[in-house]
Parts: sequence; C-alpha cells; structure tokens
Amino acid sequence: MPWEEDPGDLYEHAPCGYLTTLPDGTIVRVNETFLAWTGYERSELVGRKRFRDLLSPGDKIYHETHYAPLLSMQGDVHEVAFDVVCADRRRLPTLVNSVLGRDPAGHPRAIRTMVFDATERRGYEKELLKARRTAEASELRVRALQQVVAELSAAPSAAEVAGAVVRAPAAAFDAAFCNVWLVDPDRDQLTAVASTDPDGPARDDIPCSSSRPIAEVARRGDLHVVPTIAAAEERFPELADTMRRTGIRSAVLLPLTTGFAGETIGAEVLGVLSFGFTEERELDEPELSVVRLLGHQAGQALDRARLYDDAGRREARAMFLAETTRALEEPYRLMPRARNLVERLVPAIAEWAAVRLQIGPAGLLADAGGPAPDQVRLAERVAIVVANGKAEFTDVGADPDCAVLPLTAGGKVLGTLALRMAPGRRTAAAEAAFLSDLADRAGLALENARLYEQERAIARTLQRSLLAGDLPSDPRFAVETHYQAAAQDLEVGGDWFDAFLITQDKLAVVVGDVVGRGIDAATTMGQLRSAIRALASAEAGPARLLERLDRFVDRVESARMATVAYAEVDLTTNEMTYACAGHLPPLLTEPGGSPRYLLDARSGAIGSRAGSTARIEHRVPLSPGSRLLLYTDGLIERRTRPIDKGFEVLARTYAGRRDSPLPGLTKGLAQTLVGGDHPDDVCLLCLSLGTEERLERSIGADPVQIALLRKDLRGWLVSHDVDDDSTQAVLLACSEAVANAIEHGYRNDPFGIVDVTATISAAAIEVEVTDRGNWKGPTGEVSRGRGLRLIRQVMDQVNFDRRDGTTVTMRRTRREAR
Amino acid sequence: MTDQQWVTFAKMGSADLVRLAGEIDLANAPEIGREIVRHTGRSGAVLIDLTAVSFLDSAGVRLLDALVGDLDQAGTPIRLVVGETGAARMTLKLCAFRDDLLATDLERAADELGG
Amino acid sequence: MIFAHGYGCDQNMWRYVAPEFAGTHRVVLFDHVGAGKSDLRAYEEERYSNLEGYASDVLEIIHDLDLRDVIFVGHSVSAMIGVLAAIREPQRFAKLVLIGPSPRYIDDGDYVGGFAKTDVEEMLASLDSNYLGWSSAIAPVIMGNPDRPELGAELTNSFCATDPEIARKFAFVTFTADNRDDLPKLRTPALILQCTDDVIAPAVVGDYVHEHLRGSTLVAMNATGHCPNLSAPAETVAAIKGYI
Repeated sequence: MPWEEDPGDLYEHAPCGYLTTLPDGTIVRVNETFLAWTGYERSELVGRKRFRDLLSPGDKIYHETHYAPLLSMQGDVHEVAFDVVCADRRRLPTLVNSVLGRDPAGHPRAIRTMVFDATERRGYEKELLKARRTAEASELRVRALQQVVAELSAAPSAAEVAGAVVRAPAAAFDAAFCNVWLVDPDRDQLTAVASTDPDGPARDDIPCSSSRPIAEVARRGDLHVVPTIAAAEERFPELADTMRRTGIRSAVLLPLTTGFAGETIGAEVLGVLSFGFTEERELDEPELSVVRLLGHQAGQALDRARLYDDAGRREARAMFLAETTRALEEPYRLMPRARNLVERLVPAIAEWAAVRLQIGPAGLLADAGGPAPDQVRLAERVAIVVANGKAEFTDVGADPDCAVLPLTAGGKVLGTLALRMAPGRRTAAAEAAFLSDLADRAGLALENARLYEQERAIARTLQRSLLAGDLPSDPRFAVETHYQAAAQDLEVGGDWFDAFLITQDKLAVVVGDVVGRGIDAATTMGQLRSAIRALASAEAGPARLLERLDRFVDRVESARMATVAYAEVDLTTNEMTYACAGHLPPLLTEPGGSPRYLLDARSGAIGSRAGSTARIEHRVPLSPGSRLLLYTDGLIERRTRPIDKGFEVLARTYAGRRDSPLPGLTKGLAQTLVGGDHPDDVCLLCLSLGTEERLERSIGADPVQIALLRKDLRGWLVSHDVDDDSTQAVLLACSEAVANAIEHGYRNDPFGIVDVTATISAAAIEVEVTDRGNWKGPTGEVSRGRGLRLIRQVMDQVNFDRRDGTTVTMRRTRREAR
Repeated sequence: MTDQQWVTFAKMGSADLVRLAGEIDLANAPEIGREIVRHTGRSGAVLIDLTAVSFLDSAGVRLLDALVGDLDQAGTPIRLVVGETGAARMTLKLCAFRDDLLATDLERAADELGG
Repeated sequence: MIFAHGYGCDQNMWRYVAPEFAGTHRVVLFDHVGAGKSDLRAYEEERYSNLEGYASDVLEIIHDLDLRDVIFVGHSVSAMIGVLAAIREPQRFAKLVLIGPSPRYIDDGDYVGGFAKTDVEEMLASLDSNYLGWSSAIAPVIMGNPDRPELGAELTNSFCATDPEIARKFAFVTFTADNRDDLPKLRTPALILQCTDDVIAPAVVGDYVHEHLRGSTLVAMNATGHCPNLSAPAETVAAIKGYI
C-alpha cells in the first residue's frame, strides 16, 4: 500500500523529534528529525549527553525542579516548553512530551521523549507574554501613580507630601535612590526632606542660585532625563560623580510644579524629585508622561500643603500668642514672668531665647535653650535695639538667624527679647510679624510685673518699716511679734501690731487690721498706728482711745471699719485694761491655767455705723508669767472650717506651747496653725510679763540698708550691756552675712527681702540671717570668701542652711561667760 | 547718710593724705575706692587715715587690698593708720594685713614715708 | 519527622520516602503556601519575600502540633528553610537532613553556586512559557468540568501543581536568596545528601555547605540529578536511616 510506512523510516523521519534516554537522562537513541533540527551528530549525543545537557541554563533548572520530579511521579509529562540549544548555539523552541517506561518490577527503565518544533507558537507566545508584561508594567505604574495621588490628597503637610512622592518612583518604575528637595523661599535654598536612602535625606542645603543640577532643574522647571553617566558627565559632572558613587546608571530630575499638566507659564517650582536606575534605562513616552504627571500631582499637593501649613502656622501662632499672654498673667512677679516667657519660647518656637531687662544695676536676665550666641556681638546688638527701639531680625556675620526685639511698654524700652529660631523652622525675618506681636505682648506683661514688683516692694517696705519700729524693751516684760505675708504673691495686707510705753510704767499693745490691700492699706495702717500712739495717754484708757479713733476715721475714711484689739498694762500693778473694736478676742494664759479668750469689752469696728460704738473696756489682773496673745483673723479663719473650730484649735495649740520660750513662739504658732499655704496675711503679738529678748528686722536687698540694720543692732546690743569686742564682732558678722545674701542670694532679685533675727541670753548672742534667693554654690570670688571667713573668725559657731534660700545661724559666747 | 563725708583728701608733707570716716561697707566702698584712685593716681606716697572709721567690712577690706596692690606695684609707699583698738583695726587684723602697712601714729607714719 | 518539599513540587515528592519512616516516627508532610493543596489566600507577598517567611511557617507547624526533637528533612530550597528555622528555635530540632542544599545558587566572586544571574532570569522566562502552555491547555478543561475539577488534574501534569504567580515569586526568592552567612549560626547536627551530577546544587556547593555547617555529615550519593527522593528513593531512605 502506498500509505504503508516503513516503521524504521517513520521513526527516523517523523515530523517530530524522538529521543530515548535512560532514567538519568542519558540519550541512548535519537531520530534523524531531531538531529536535523538541532544540527548534532548522532555520535555526539548517544551515550554522551543527557537530555538536560541540551537545554538552556534556565530550562535546566526547570527540568530539574519540575520536569524530572513530575515524570518520576506520574510517569509522563506533557507539553513542557523547553529551548533546546542546537549545535550552532541557536535555540530551538520546542514542546516536549515524555513517558517513563518501567520494567516488570516497576523500576524506571527508559524515558521516551517526543519533541515538537514550537518556533512559531513560541514566537506567538513570546509576543503574548511581552504584551502581558507591558500591560502589567503599565498597570503597575498606573496603580503606583493612583496610590501616590491618593496619598498626596491625604497628605496635609509638605513633609508628608514629600514622604509620599519619594516612594512613587520605586513603586512605578523600580527606580532607586529617590530624593525629594523642597524650595525654601525664606532662605532661598533647596532642602532635602525625604529620601529612600536608609541614611535619610542629604544634609547640605543647596542655594537656589547654585550650579548644581537640582538647583538648575528648580530654576528651569523642566524634566531632565540623564540616560547615562556619560550624558551626565557632559552637562553635570557633579551628578556623574553622585551616580557613580551610588551605583546609578540613569537619572531623572523632575520639577514639582504648581499649575496643571502641560502648563509651564506661571507654574511655580516648589521642589525637585530626583531618582535613578541601577541599569541604563530609556524612558519611553508613556513612561515620561507618567513621570510628568507625577511632578504636577506632587506640585499641586505641595501647593495645597503650603496653604495648609500657612493656615496651620497662623492658627498655631495665634494660639501660641493667646496662650502665652494668658500664661504670662499667671506669675505676678517679674523674674518668674520673664522665665515663663523664655521657657514657653524654647523649644516650641526658638532653640535659644533670652530676656534682658534694664532693671537694677546689672539688669536682669532669663534665658533658655542653646547654644547662646557670641556674647560680645549680642551685647552690641542689644545696646542698639535698646537705643532705637527697633527690632533686628537678622545679623550679618556668623549668626545671621539671631534676632533681637525690643520689649516696650508705653513707648519705653524695658529690655530686649533675643532668640534664634529652632532649626528647620522659618527664619525670624519670615516670622517678623508674629515675633513683633509676641514681643509687644511680652513687653506689656513684663512692664505690669515690674510695676507690680515696684508697688509690692514699696508696700512691703512701708509695711515693714512701720512694723519694724522699736518695740519697747524692759526687764519687766517682753514682746514677741510675727508677721507672715500671704503665701500667694498677693499685695500686702493691712494687718499690724504695735507695742509702746505710754508712760514709764504703762505699756500699750495693739493688733489691728485695716480693710483692703496694697499700698493704700499699708498707708492707712501706718496712719492708724500713729494715731493710736498719739491718742493713747496715761489717763484715757482703751475705751476712750477707741472713741477718739472713731472720730479720727471721719477724717481718714480709708481707716473706717478697721478692727483693733488694744490693751494697756500697768507694769507696777500688772493690771491690764483691754478693749476690742470688732476684733477677735485676745487669748490669755496665766501660770498654771488654761488659755482663755477675753470676751468682754467688745464693740463694733472703728467708725462702724451699724455696729455698737459705745466703747467699753474691761480690767483683768495679771499674775507674773502671764502671756497675752493678740492676733488677726488670718491665724484662725479657714474657708474649710467654722470659726469656733478655729478658736478651739488656736487655744489647744497655744496651751501646748505654754512652756515654750517666748522667742519663736508667735512664729511657731503661725506655722502650726496656717502652715506655708495661707491666703491671708497673719499678724501676731505676744506679751509676756517677764524678760526675754529678741531683735527682728527685715530689710530690702539693698546694700544701703545694711547700715540702718547695723544701727538698730548696735543699739540693741549696747542696751543689753554686751561688751565692745562682742558688739563689733556681731556687727561685722551680721553685716557680712547680709551682704552675702544681697550679693549672692538675691543676685537676680533686687526686690528680695533679708530677715535678721538676733536673740540674747546670759551666755550668748545668736544671730540668724535668712534670704530666699537662689544660692548657686561657691562663686570662687575672693571678696565673698573673705566675708565668710570673717564671720567664722569672729563668731564661735556658724551654720549654713541652704535648703530653701540660705539661713546663716551664728552664735558668739558673751565675754562674761567666756 | 548723704550729709556725711566718708572720704576727704589733704597733703601731709610729700604724701597724699586720705581720711576715711564713719562706716565703710558694701554700700559705699566702691564709690570711695573710685574717689581715692582719682585723687592718688600720681601720688609719691599715700597715707590712709582710718582712725575715724567706726565700721569696716570685707568690701572695705577689698578696697584697701586693691589700693595697696596697685600702689605697691607702682612703687608708691603707703601706710594705713588705724587706732590701737576699734572696728578698722579689728577687721584688718582679722584679714591679716601686713604689719609694715599698719601704723598707729599719723605723724610718725608721714615721717616714715617722707624719709 | 517533617518532610519539606523543594521548589517546583509539593509533598507528593516524598511518596517513596516518607512511608518508610511512618512506622518509627511521627511523619508530618505539608505543602508550602502556593504549592499543592495549600490555601492560596494565605499567600502574602511581604511575608514570603524571603525565605524567613517560609521558615516561620515551619515553626508555626511545629508550634501548632507541639513537636519536639524534630528531624527535619528538607529538599532543595527547603533545606535552607529548615536551617533558618533551626537557627531561630534550636531547642525544637534534633537533626536536619538536607537534600541538595544550596545557600546561594548564583556565582558570586570566588563562590561557585552553579548559575549566572542571567540563567535565573531565563529560568523565570521558562516558567512563563510553561505557565502560558499550562493555562491555555488546561484551564478550559477544568472550567468545562466544574463537577469534576479533579478530572483536569488527571489529564495532564497533575502532580506538583502550583499557583503560577506564586511559583514565579517563590522561584525568584529561592534563586536569588543568599543565606551563606546563616550557615555558621546553625547548632543542630545536619546530614547533607549530595547527588552526583546535580545541576541545581553541584557537588562544590555541597562541599561548601558541609564546610560551613559545624558538625555536619556529608553523604555523596550515587543517585544523579536533583531529586534522589524520586530517582533513588531506596538509597535516600538508607542514607537518612543510617544517619538518624
């Protein structure tokens, strides 16, 4: 039959290749068709090659990982695509079917493989595949772009926009080394803000006028594609260096512009995106259009973020101003207010800030943060700003970003605010309006604090000078007083105490309280105090005195409704006569007895129209050793407890201290009853029939006052028959201790108060000097060291307590006792 | 205190005589120091009379110390005249001022400087 | 004993080996995500972007089944996966059996891995070709027999079915991995089974692994190719038994 085939010929010349191999792939038989397709000689293959040896390296892997296991498991494999490497290295695309033959025991015996020429089909497949890969890449780009656009629209700040943009090239193009630079119009430079480099963005800023490629692109506003290092070498040698260093072979520099795609006129460049490829790469037109689109989308997002930033900054600034104004009202005093200001500024606004006030001989300084600028240059600029009252926002020279603004109030320059803006923030010049506003408000707040300090100091001084007048001393009696100002820095109150000898043998003691606070109250208190001294007479007695005071307040209206507890003691008979005008009852202890309130002789406040002004008095005989306590309502009144409870607590506390020495008694009572935290002034006077002695003075932190203190102290020492040497020694030691408090403790506080207490016994004189200033450790100054040495030389015991301010306690044994 | 003259100047032989009086402390020492320096800048010898000083603190000592230092350096002889007792002598002794600086008799000190 | 299949196949590849141990050991077989009957939804690109992700899966299996004194038998890439898992939780592993391990397939300086970078790219292309063939030829068959999806599988290359997308990524992860630095960290005794004429993991690579794994034993097998568990199961079983 013509269609009958010779099996041998059919095998050899079949329209497909046949191979028979051993289970390990060694070729044992191959047909002519396969040899003709591949160009191998039969002798080259049979017994010498395995089938996999004819495959391309990639297909070898596939053969080993897929084909061989499959064949061994299922016995046959179908339509596996392999490229057979021909004798001339040409590759023949094939499809391969194999069957594994086994011997009767089931052991693999041979593999029969049929090889089809798949050139056409594979060509078609490759086209398909390429189309698929292209579509996938395009889809990937579009998806990456969509992702970026979504992120951009959600990015509220320039930094977040940059963060989103910098990730886009890697996602869309498999690009590497992406960096975003933003134009900083204040500083006229480009700053790297985001990078895919794990080390973060570059730290060097590029001036907009620079010849560097980033600046060039920002100026020209068009896309630069640098396909090779050689191309970079021609135009931007520096870029070529960077590319070589970072392993980049092609680079793209894309301006981020406002306006819509395609518009270049009027579009503003807000930043530059740079990225590269680790292999040389040409971007085709669709890719370039995606890149351009990215630039526009990013530019628009930046523009929007800029507006957001601007609005956000304005809002933050307004809030900061409002909060600062409010916060500055909080501390009344000047230095805390100045400190408060600089501490609010650093680090929120500035990295360093200093307030200098032209107050006191050396001026006052509060600063925070750092580094501080060059002090000499700063001093020059401060002097200029103080002189012409105009702010300087920049400076020529090493520290251009350091601004100095005048702090003014009522046209007067009170001092300066100097600051350097926090790094990465807008410059002081760019924030000029905000900073000026801030300085104006701060100036006003500081001026108010200064006025407050001044008034407070005057009122305190007035009050203290009135209260510090000589209290009488006499072997027959002793008076102990204590005045404790309200804990909060409120204005002074109108409380007072007084003790004076009406005659040689008649002692008057007073505690009173004027309505109101501040200078007026202090002045009125002084007037009433003087009036009582003037009106008291040997014959009048307490009731008559109060009547005269009623008439006095008709002329001094501010004294109306003042309350007074007044007692006269006849020192020859120890008989006391007392009267209370609207004041809390005196508290009396007699030896061996419990404290009792003296509730007789009560009438209304001075000049009261509603209260009883029928003035009455009451007599009480006192035994030696009696103690009479007069006090103001601050001692017992508490918002949280009824007044009768207060009376009870006072009586109990007083009873508990019945045997305590008089020195320190009133202070101890005040501390026990009101502690450190009390809203009102407290004034106490304790009269003891007996002799104990104590001198108590408070002076302002002014060297001139030391001489006045010495005068009092000298008189007090002399009156106690203290020997000359001891007097000189105590005067010197006390002067040095006070000078120390003024020069160091109150170095920054010209309004500080130094308290001096001296007590004397038969054995020794003891002086205590207390300030509440900031002790900053030994200054190494020779002068003060000498002062402290002098104290130690002339006193027998000296102790420094620097827990809260400084208290120096000094003791010198009297000559008689030595 | 403003009516009080803490420092007055006179000539005694060839020496400039500086008379100090009253209490000298932190409050007035710097001012007194400036006065003295102004008057004794070109002196051949300086006598400082402290016999009328009723109080002298470490600020006063600082002033005298600086003054002595400057004059010593310039080779100008100086004497401090203090009473046998009193505040000035106490403070200066406590601060261990050199004996050759201290004198008790003004005339003799002036003679010494003149010679 | 955990048997972990290598790249390109699934747990079927242990069909001649694993049963030999069922009498003496608790045998655990599994498919890596993307292979065999694994749940394809569990595939996360991020997690499986390196071999550590696959090592984590092995440890999860160990934890879930609370396995101790594990003898881990890993073929090909799973050998390295087992090494990584044993480094992380050495207390769980008794011994490792590494069949045709390679810490790096691509040549790198003096190191010979057996392949050039372009070979791996070509191999990925090869995968694509076969993926096209597979999907065009088989997908209609499967879709045409919704009642009997297994029919499609029976018709052609039914074993070692893998999701082509995942397979492509697994191939990329496998053939670009470089775990040479991890070898010295292993504290678990290991047996290396090295075949003759293994183009995937040549003898020089087996020697490299042996040299860098402390206390490892290398057995050079007569079996040829990369899958002695299929081509020479008896020899493979004997070598493993001899070791454990």
